[in-house]
Amino acid sequence: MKFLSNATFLINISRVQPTLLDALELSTIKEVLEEVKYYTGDVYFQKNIKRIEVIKDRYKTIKRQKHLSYTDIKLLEVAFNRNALLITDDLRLRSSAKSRGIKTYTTPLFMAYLLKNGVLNKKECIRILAKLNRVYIRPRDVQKVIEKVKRW
Amino acid sequence: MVKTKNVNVALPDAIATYIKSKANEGYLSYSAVARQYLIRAITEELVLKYQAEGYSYSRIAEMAETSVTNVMEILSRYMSEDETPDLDDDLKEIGGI
Repeated sequence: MKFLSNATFLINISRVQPTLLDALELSTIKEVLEEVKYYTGDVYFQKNIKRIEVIKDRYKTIKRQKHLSYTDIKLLEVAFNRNALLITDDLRLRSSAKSRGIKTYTTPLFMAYLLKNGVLNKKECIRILAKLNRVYIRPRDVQKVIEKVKRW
Repeated sequence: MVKTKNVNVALPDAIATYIKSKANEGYLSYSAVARQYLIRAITEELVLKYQAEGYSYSRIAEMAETSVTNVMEILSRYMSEDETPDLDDDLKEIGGI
């Protein structure tokens, strides 16, 4: 399955575990890279972000919507047409994706997914989640995921 | 390029003195420091307003003329009690239980 990321996931991962970019085959669109262009939180991240596949597909299947940006619409179109898993921490984008049948995970959920699929071991997963807990926009989500994965 | 407008404001003495001290500290102009404070405060208010109105982070960044990173940082200071809807369902699906 293709993993399509928006800016929120890239920013979060750069804060907690930038080396994870090596282990993942991530995709995005050039508009997302523009959004994180001036984020210089981590040199490693800036270097490795260049490894992310940039999808250049052009669709015009979703109409412009008041509450979504052009970047959001383009991400939805790419995710829908390529059957990709959209990783985003933006609840508005997540609900728009879900209503179109697009699979979407937040950063903590995606860490749990990586654990279940053998990309991370339990110790690594919990360590990353604990770091994420300190910076994440909804820390209760992270605590819940930590509690759950401890029992897996 | 961002369009700008000039705004003249009268400030209480204590605030003006503080701005001046910060300007001296950073070798900046008085107006540059006042501008930074004003932009920071109003951007924060705009981000919270647009969030409450249901805009996406990327759209909020566009409308408030700031970065997605800044939107995330501002919201993380105010949304600590929120939880993602469907989190439990997704966790169940991932865990296969």
